[in-house]
Amino acid sequence: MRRSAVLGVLAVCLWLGAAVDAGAVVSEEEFEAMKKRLGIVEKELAEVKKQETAETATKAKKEGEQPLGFGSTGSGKLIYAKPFVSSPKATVGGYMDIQYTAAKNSSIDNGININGSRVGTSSSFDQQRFVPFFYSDVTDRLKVAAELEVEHGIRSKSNSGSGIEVSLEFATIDYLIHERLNFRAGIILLPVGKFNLLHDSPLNDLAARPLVSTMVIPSTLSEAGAGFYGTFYPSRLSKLDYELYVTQGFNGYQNDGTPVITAGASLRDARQRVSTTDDGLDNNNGKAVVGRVAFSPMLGIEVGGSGYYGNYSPLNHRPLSIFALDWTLQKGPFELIGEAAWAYATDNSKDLFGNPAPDPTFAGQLLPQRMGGFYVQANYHFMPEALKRWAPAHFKDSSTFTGVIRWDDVNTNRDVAGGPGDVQRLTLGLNFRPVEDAVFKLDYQFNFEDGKANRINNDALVLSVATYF
Amino acid sequence: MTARKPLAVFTCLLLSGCATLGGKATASSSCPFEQVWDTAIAALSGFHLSAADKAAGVLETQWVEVRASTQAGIIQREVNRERMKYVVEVKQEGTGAVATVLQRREEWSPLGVRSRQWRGIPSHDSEEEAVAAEMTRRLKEKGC
Repeated sequence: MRRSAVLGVLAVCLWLGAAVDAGAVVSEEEFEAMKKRLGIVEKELAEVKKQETAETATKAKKEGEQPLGFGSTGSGKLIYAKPFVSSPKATVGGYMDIQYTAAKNSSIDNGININGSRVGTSSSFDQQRFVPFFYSDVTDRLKVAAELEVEHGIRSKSNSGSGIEVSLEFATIDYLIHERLNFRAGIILLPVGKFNLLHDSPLNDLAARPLVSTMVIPSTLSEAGAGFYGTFYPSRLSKLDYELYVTQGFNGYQNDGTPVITAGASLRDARQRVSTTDDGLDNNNGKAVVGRVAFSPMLGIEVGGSGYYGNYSPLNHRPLSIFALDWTLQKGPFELIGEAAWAYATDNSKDLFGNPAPDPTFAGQLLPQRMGGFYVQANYHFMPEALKRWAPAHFKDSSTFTGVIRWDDVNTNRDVAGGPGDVQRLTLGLNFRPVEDAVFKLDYQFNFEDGKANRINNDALVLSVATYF
Repeated sequence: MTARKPLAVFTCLLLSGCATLGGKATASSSCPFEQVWDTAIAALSGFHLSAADKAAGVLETQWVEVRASTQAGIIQREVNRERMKYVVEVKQEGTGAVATVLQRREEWSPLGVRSRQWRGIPSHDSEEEAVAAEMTRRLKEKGC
C-alpha cells in the first residue's frame, strides 16, 4: 500500500514537473522523454497495484475468509454472496410450523364434496405456515421489516376450494423520529387486539389460534397504510405503547356485489389480503382508521384497548367497527392472557340496494351485523430438575414445559344464537420448548359448535411443531 | 356471549395493577437530601442522564445497549439486542434521605413480529444492588 502511494506521488510530481516545464520553453525531445518516463511510472504503479490485490486475496484465503462474489463456486456458498445476507445490517430468517390433527367423526373439512355431500377426514397433516422474513437497518433511523407468508405451501396450483396463499403478512418502512413518535408505512399488521400483533406460531403456546382472533379479528389482519407509533414511560415502572394508522379498509363484497361477511366466514373474506379488487386496491374512497393503546403499570401486567373504523362497501357508507380489549398478567411461572372483541358491520343484513340479504352459510337468517367473542388462557411454565440431570443435552436452562388451558367463546352473528359461528372451545395443552424460539405442542380440543345446546362430537387431538430459524 | 365476562376479567387485571413491587435496591443515609442527590448523580457518572428532576427527586439515565442474554431461533443466532437504563428516586426520610434504584430492561429481536418493538424483561437485581451499594459506599466516605 505504501509503495503504491509513493509511486503515485512520484507520478503526480512528474506530471506537475512536466506541466511547470511546459510553461517554460521545452524542446520536443525533452517533452517526449518526460512522457516516456511518466509511462514507465504508470506501468510500474499498475504492476504494484496488481501485486497488492493478489497479496490481499492470498491473505484472505489463508485466514479462511473466502471472498464471495459471482466467481464463487459451490452449491451452498453462492447464497451468502447476496448483500442482504452478508451485510451485518440485514437479518434473514423465518418460522415454520407443521401440525397433525386427529379429530372425531371426520370433522376436518378438506373441501371434498361428492354428489353434494361433504366428505371430511378425521386426521390430516397440515404444513400450515412457512414464513421467511427480512429485517434491515438501512440507517440508524430507517428500518425495513417484512414477513412473506406461504400458507399450506405443499400445493402447487390453485383449485376451486382453496387457492395458493402466498402474501406479505407485513412489509414496513419505519422512520424513527423519537421514542415517543415514529413513522411507519407499508403493509401494516393492524393493531386490533394483541394476538394479531404476536401471531407467529412459535410464540404461541397452543397450536390453534384463539377463535376470537381468527373470526372477529381475522388474523393475520394486515392492510396497506401509514401512521405513527411510539412509547411513553409515564412513571418509574409503567409503560404506554400506542399505534395509530390510516389504512385501506375492509372490502365486504366481491366484484359483482356478492357479500362476503357471513356468519360462516365471519370477516375473514373481507380482508384486503383476500379482496377481489385488482391489485388489492381500495373498493371505495374511504380510508380506515385503526389504533391501539397498551398500558403496562408494571412489568408483567399489560392491558390494551384497540379500535378499527372504516367503510367496507363500494357503493354506500357502511362502516365496520371493531373494538377489542386484551390483557396479559405474568407472575413468576404463571401467565393469564386473553382478548375480547366486538365487531359491527352496519347494514350488512341488507344487500347493496337495501333489500334483506339472506346468509348463504346459515339458512333462514340474514347476514350478520354484530359479532363478538373472547378467550381466556392460563399458562404455567415449569422445568423438572430431574430431567435436566437425566438428559442435560436436551433439557437445558433455556428449556421449558408449559401447561395450558384456554376457553374460547365466539359468535359471528350475535343477533342469532346457535348459528354456525356460535362456537365454544375448551383446549388443554402441554408444550415443550428446547429453546425459547422452538416449540413442540400437544393439545386436546373440546369443541362445542352450533352453540352449547347442540354439541357436535368433534373433539380433536392436535400435535404441532413450530420454530423460528 | 355477553360483554360482562371479558369486562370482568379486564377489571380484575386493572385492579391487580395497583399491586406494588417489593425488594427494590435502596441506599439509605443520614446525609441530607442535597448530599444524597449529588452522590446519586456521581454514582451514575458512567451513564448519560436523560432526566434530572431535583424537585421530584428523580434521576433517569439514557438507554444503554448491553450484551443480549438470549439468542435467536433454533440455530441460536447472536442477533437479539438488549438495553437497560436506571431510574433513581431520592426521597427525604426524616433528617436523612433514601435513594431507590430501579433498572428497566428491554429486549428486541429481529425475528418475525418481535421486530416491531422493544419488550420489557425482568431487571437484574444484582446490578440494581451494585449501584445502590456504590451510593452507600460514597455516602459513607462522606461520613454519613
